[in-house]
Amino acid sequence: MSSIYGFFAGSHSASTSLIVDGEVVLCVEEERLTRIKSGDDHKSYPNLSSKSIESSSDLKIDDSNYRIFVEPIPDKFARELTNNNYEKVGHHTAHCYGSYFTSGMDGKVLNISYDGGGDVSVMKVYLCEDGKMTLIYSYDLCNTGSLSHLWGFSTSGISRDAWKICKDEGKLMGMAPNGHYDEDIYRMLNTCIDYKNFKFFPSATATKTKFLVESMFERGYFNTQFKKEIFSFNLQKITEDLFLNFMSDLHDRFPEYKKICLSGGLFANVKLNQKINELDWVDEIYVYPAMGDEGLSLGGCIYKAVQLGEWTKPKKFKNVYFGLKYSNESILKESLKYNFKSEIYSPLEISKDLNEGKIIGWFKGGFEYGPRSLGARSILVRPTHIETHEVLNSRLKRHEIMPFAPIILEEHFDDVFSYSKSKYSSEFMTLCYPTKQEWIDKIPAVIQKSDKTARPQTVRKENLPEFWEILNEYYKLSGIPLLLNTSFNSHNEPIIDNPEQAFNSLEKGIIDKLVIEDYVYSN
Amino acid sequence: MYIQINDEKIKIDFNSGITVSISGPDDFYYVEVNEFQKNNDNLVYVEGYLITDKLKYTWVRKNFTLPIEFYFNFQIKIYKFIDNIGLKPIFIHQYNDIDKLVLFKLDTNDYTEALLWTDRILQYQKINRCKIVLDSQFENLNKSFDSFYQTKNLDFYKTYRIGRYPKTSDDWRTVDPRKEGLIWFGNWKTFWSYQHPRIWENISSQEIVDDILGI
Repeated sequence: MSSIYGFFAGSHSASTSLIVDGEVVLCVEEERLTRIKSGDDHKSYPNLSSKSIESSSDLKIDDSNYRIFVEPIPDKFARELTNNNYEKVGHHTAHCYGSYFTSGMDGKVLNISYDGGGDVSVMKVYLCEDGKMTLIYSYDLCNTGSLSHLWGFSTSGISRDAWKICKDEGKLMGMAPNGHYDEDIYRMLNTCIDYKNFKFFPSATATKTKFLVESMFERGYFNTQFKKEIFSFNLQKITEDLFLNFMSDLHDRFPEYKKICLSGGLFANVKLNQKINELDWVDEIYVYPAMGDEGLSLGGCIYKAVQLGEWTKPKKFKNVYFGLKYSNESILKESLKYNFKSEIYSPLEISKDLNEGKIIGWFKGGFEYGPRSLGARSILVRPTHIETHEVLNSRLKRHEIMPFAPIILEEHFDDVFSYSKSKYSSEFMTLCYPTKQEWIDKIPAVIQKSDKTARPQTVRKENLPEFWEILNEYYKLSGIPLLLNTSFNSHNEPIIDNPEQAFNSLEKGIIDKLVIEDYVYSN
Repeated sequence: MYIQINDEKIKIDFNSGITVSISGPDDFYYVEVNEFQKNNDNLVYVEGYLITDKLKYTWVRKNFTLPIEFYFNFQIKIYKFIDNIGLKPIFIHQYNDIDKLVLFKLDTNDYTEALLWTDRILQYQKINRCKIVLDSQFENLNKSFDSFYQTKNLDFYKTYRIGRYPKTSDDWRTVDPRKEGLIWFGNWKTFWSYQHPRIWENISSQEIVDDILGI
């Protein structure tokens, strides 16, 4: 059995992962430690993350059995970090191994990765069965259009570079439901990207989109918020239309494949994921929780473990708390720097606070791997009052266009949301679901006001017992089996990593109380 | 050469890589170069970006330049933005030097090598049917082509520099700006070096000229 270090250093979203004997030990994104969001830092290397894993695991990189770098690879850095002793794995290969082998799916599975590039391709498609993956399509960056590029350059162009590629695409997705279909906008976007017969075209979507959106900006197409929303709606629509056409062609060709694994930055788009999930012929979808390039270091490790026969079949994550952990002792030591009141954590007392509208910081165990706060570094608030948005946005200095998402007791998922497919994927907040009519007015703070969808995280008792417990206490008190769960960070910051950052949030009044491991702190 | 299409005046030049400029009423134009590759039905994207002739857009380049000097079978495509339509191609030019004046500059002081390279230039002419103008250190070689006497003060359609032009590093993060952008710009592996399509050390003199002329 083996120890495998995986690294990604390909311009943004650097990360390091470690698996030992076929089990995930640690995965750390560089941005958590540098405190610079990866979208703002396209030159980052996994320096801090690799050191932190060496230190936490007590396993030096040099002492591990294998060292894997995922393409694109800065050769000089890779040589120096590993004493020139590393193996290479393709970008989309790592995406696809990461998604399939953590999907828990048996039988025939379609496995698709799609992003802006990495190993000179933008998309790969595998057919998978019984732990075997067969590559059937690979789309070269040089002669294929890319929906990811359409989003990236729309994001930067609509805001004159105030919003960043690989970081702020979600803002457009958040605005989209407030817009409407516009034939002219749709047609204009269509000149940058189209799809027919297994091919996205024309190539160079990136530069064509930049030209289109810059020209539209100059002609006043984005000079009101509503115009931006209309553009975003049509961007989302053309993305869904073209990709669902592609899915339809895949289904026609491989009708027996009804389970879908998805990875790559495109599938950070939870609305697109929702549409795929709602296809009649699809039995289940699974979106790799670290769907962007931050997930590649683990994907690279998994690829190697599969080659070694140490990871033979798709497994399921219980959770993705693969980040750094902090002991009660170290937390106590940090807390002494402040004058907070402290008490032993009581789920009942915190649920009362939540029910009264308090904003609770939640810090438990190792931090999450991937872009979502999933119960290790979260902010929890009651979902029942729409005014919560204003308070949260004010305290977190966030943009009002970004919707908030719920966590929900698994036992009540079907009561609140339509479509019960793909619940495993929903444990990682990777797709949207329509909300049932009778719940829309009860939980306005976590429902997208225009299309009445939500992006829930399903909480299972056996996987996240403490998170389930606080949710259940709140349910017993309020009759509402959900809470609002947003990431524990202020605007433009990565999600927090350590106790110091959590205590700072409390000191600044961003949160009213901080639940941190076994204690609760308040001002 | 200059081309006028409606309100747009376009200048293209292949004497130091590829250069395109446009003057016209629009704020921006989009210029793209694609390659026709052997055994590939798809046009392969090489480079593309916005250009402008308006001074106020300081962040937009004034000319399109692609410093690839060796032979490749390419196409230039220029787009303009049309309201409610989107991108519309207004000009397409495919590289074609049939019956056109092409200048071959030989960067060698070895007469034997210059002779060998001249022989390969003649081979290029057989394939592409251009008119050769030779510029070397060897007057007798230069004068061996009739065009030497006929082409004073004329523009060349294309210039090939034939010689050894090194690439200095293999680290894309530190040296090669093209590789820096590999996430967004394709084909960087093919065009490893602008001056020469592959590392020229340890290849023969004939391979050097053949690589540059694509024969």
